Amino acid sequence: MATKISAVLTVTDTNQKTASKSLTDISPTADKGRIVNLARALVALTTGTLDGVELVTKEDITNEKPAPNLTVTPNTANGLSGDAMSFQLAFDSDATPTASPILKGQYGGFTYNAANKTFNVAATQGLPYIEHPTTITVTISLPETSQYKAATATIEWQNMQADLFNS
Amino acid sequence: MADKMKQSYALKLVAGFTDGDERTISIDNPRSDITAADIRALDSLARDVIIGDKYGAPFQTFKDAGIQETTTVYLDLEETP
Repeated sequence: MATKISAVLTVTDTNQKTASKSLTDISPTADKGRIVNLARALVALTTGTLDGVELVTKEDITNEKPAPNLTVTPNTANGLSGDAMSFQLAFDSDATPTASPILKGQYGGFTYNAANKTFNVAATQGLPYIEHPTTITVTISLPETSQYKAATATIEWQNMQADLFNS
Repeated sequence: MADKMKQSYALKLVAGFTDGDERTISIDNPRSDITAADIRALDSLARDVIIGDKYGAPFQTFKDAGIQETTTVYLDLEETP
């Protein structure tokens, strides 16, 4: 999304006709006094007189994409045991999501199944030991596509039986 | 009724930006005695005020300026063939 600022100059010509002249692409950090000074100098090059300067801000939403409505729910209850666990994703995009555990290096091996939009961690992967009780936070990321913006969602579990994850 | 002709004038200022981008600012009804010094004097006033329309690059200088004369012929549509 791009924000565009214009200075609209109201000018009266020698026939007493009033017209507007839009000076586009004004810097968002421009000092108002400097904007008026430039407007005065430009109109001084004409036969008209400057009546006023108005700043107009517009947002260009032409290329704005919708968010993909990403939701993540656990298929495995808190206090999970050594069984395989998974999250269920729902999103309206053709993108392939990724999962990144906060506990990098200690907990990983998420496998994405595109057929049913789930991330799975198999107990047989030999997950390393995690102190318990441990809250595991996982961030799901969806990349931007031609139709949708990028999006992220997080999900947490309370792992109460971490010793069952010993490899 | 005969066709009518009307002449109009516009000052065309070509603004250059630090990324190489250029855009033309058009101002109607310019004075007839505008000098190069008048245009040069605009440089410092435009700095930090206008930006490029592609990447928002800062204004650098007015690279070119000229007065364009346009003649419009208004056809008399009520004239019988």
